[in-house]
Amino acid sequence: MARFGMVIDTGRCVGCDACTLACKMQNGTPPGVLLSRVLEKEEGTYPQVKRTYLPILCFHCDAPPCVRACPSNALSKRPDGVVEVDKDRCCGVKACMAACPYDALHFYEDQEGYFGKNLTPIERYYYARHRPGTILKCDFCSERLMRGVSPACVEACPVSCRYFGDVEDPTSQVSQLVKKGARPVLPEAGTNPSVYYLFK
Amino acid sequence: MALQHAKGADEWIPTMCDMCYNMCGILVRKEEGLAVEIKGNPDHPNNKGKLCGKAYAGLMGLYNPYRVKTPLKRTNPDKGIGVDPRWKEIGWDEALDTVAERLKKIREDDPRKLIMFTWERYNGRFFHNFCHAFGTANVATGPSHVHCGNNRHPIDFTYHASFRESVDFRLCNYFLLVGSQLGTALDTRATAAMAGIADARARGMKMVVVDPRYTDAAKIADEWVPIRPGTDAAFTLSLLNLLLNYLHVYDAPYLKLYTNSPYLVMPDGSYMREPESEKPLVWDSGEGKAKPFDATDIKDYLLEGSVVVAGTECKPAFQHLKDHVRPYTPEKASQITTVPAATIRRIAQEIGEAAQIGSTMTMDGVELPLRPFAVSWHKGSSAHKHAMLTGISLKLLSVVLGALDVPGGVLSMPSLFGPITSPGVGKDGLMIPTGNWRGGSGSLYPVRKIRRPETIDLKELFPFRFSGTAFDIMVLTNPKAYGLSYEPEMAIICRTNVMVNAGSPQEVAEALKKVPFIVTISTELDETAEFADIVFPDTHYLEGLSFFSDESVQAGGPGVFWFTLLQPVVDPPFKPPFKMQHGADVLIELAHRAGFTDKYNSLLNVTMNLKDPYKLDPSVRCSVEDVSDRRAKSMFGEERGLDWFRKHGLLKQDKTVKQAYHRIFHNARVPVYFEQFLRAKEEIAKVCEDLKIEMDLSDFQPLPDWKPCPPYQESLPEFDLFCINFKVYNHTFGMTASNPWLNELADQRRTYDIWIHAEAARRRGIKDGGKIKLETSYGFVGEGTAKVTEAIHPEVIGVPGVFGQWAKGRPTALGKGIHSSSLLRRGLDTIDFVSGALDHCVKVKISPA
Repeated sequence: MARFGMVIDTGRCVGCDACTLACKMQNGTPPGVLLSRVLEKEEGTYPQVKRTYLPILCFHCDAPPCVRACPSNALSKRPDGVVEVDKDRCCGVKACMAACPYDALHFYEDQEGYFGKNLTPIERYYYARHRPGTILKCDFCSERLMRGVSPACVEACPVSCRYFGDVEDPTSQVSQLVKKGARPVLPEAGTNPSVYYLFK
Repeated sequence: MALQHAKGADEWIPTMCDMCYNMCGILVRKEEGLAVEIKGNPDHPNNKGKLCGKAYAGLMGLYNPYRVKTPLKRTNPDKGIGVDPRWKEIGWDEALDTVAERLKKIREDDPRKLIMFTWERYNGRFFHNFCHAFGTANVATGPSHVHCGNNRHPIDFTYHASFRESVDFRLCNYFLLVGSQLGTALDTRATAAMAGIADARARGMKMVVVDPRYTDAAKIADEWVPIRPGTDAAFTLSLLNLLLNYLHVYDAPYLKLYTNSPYLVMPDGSYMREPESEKPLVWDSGEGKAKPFDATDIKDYLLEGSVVVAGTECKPAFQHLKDHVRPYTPEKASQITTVPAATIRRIAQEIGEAAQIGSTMTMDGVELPLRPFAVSWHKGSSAHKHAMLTGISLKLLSVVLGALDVPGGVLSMPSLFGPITSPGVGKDGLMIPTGNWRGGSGSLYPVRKIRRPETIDLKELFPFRFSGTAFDIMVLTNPKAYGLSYEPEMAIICRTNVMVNAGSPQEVAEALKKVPFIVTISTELDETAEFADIVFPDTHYLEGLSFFSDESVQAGGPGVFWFTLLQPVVDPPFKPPFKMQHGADVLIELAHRAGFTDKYNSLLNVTMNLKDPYKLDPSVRCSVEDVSDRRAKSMFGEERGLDWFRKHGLLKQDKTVKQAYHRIFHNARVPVYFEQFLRAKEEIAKVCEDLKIEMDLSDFQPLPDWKPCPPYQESLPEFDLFCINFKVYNHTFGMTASNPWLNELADQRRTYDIWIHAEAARRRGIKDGGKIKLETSYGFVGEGTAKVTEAIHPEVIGVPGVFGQWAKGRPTALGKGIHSSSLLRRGLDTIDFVSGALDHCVKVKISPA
């Protein structure tokens, strides 16, 4: 079975957030929840200054602390590598949120929509798939994977800085890039993420 | 958790994005009658399946509950910033008849009393033709264009006979980007440029970004060159000096054949002309005699030195340019710009090498010059007092290296070289815009006839300004003072929020209050709608229709032309008594009720290039849909009408080498010397003298200079920081500020924060994320949040976008930092009277709030 993983080339990334908003639309997330987003870092002093963008999402770790922390076994690591939440089992105690070193889990509180209590037609359509009081997280767009399509963030990137595929297939592009030096962030957390970065 | 596709729900409708002005192709998926998903159309050559983030957020605008859904009538006669119009909902017929009655009266009295501001990208012709059919030339893309590149379009018309340029990223090896964020989700053809630059960088293209702020473009560049605001011309003129006078790198064969470099210029600055034909003369150094520029027997053109013709000493224009830039030594430029002299020297060397002068390549059997160097700029170098001279100095870098409309350089956006028309040549041999840009709206050549102003944007007085300038609001405040013989009585404003974007809101409010009756066609009750007497609901672009509006945003270089349809995905949330698929349908109905359908249709027949049997019957009211169908059939035949485009979305046509790289295929020359500026200056000065109006005409000069913009005259020492305004990638101007997805993203990315250098912040006790107070010497006080950074010039603070808006009808946009346009003011010292640009750079005082 394939184990899905992603490589992100930070050298190509322009921080445009096309991934962030394609994800927002694909997953219909409520206010305050961005399952995919871009962090930025500044280093050096004027004029020798450098800014770097780090697009982040759930890292679908091999040793996922969120799965271990969940008291209701709502989170699981699937054979294809995707860490997913079963919203029917999730009882919203947020232990996973505390356990994740990457801030990749979000809580859906059934709060107001973007324009207050009355949801717009599209918000009603988007939020119907979420269950209030449960965790929302990236699942590598599993519904798209089932259709053989890459996650929304990968397809959306205007500079094609994201690569997606089977990290256990040594011939895959992602495996090749990992071999070339793509590496996870915060490796010291010991979670063995499936999302890797190329740093220039 | 992702969208569950219901059975049979995979209906993807091809249409176009309108979240900025770049017209990317999109596919929209409908489910349960709703538009629920957007993706890039992989078949569209503009964006090749990619989109920026803003495109997805379009759905939130479509379902915005604050959309205007019914015509509204003002019941409060008082108008002002923050004054409640006390809207009353009225029926369509009442609203239409009210406006039509007024239109009739004005048209009978003096049609010039109708003015229109619109920044409609898709169906702009319906708006402009409405005005022309009515009888007024007072139609402009809107004074909000003070935020656009006012020096851009005139220069693109002049050098490319095209609305806009486009860099050949397939082959370019060295890209100098000044005051622009191309390569990010900003600037012209942004999505294409993002991919183009990323791929070019991967194959080794060097990119140098010159900007006071470390932009996202600087992030992807090899080098960031921080520069003091408003000094780009000093930097550029120094590069020109080094190339021409020290490195001796310039493309002489190109300059001789394709520019006015060899034209002989007399000591008074004018061309030496052949007495009978009045043609400018050049010196044939092969025969040692002067000949008309277009003589066919010229052995070689003299570019340098001087000759005596008919007893007068003349120098080729190129020699004048060389002499003119000589004072711009790297040391002098360094003092002005703060860019180290060694950096300027190195970049000049790199540019000279990168241009590969003399090299060629073969394409489809045709040998073409290869000049893999490009320079581009936009608002940062344009929104200044001396915008046109700065723009010309930047453009001359490409010109002297022969890097225009040849592989690797800067190319036309080729609508004019495409299936529509070809470039024109004026009587002095210079290129002139033709086709859709005939009439030369703002080209630097030929000089439009200069006469007493009749329009509020002074187009009769200032021949080189493009539509939308600092002038409109200035003149509207007191039309008589500028020689106008009438006062506007009605304004129609659509798709431009002039109250927010056109400079100081106090100035704009004063101007709008001078117009007794204002009509807006609006999706939301924005700051400008708050000044309206009647508001009509407007369609969102996912409810809209427009055929082939992307003719002016085609890609330069090889590939295809495309013809796209913007088509309705869903119905608008209102039902007028006519079919409405665009705001323009309101105008069509108004023309019908006011009785000038005949004139309107006759004009549409011409400007939409409608051919028999698809011409409109002048007596029958048309619609956007009807005209679009006729236009498609006029272009492509009976089978390729609107129905065909509805299904297929777009049509492509292959380009020839000539259409991709047209330079060597025609003899239209481009200027290195602007003789016409001298003549224009005299004529403008004469009209100004007659009318007793004061204008600053000092920039009408034949060769560019750097001159200090107004903040350099600031005398109060506590106003010690340059304040610049910059565009942000996650909003389009102030337009999208009410979109909640973009707002959420902007909050997360701290987009609304004010950039201040770490050292400047430390000296003032300002902490990152802390509140700061910003003041100008002329009374503006605002508050915002500080983003303390090393990534900005230490003398500069940067205020983003056009936020800090106040309309109650756009609650999401409220409370977002400083309203940057409030820092601006119109005056003799802040307006560039050549381009109409408004200076966006001011000196400010900063303190913790």
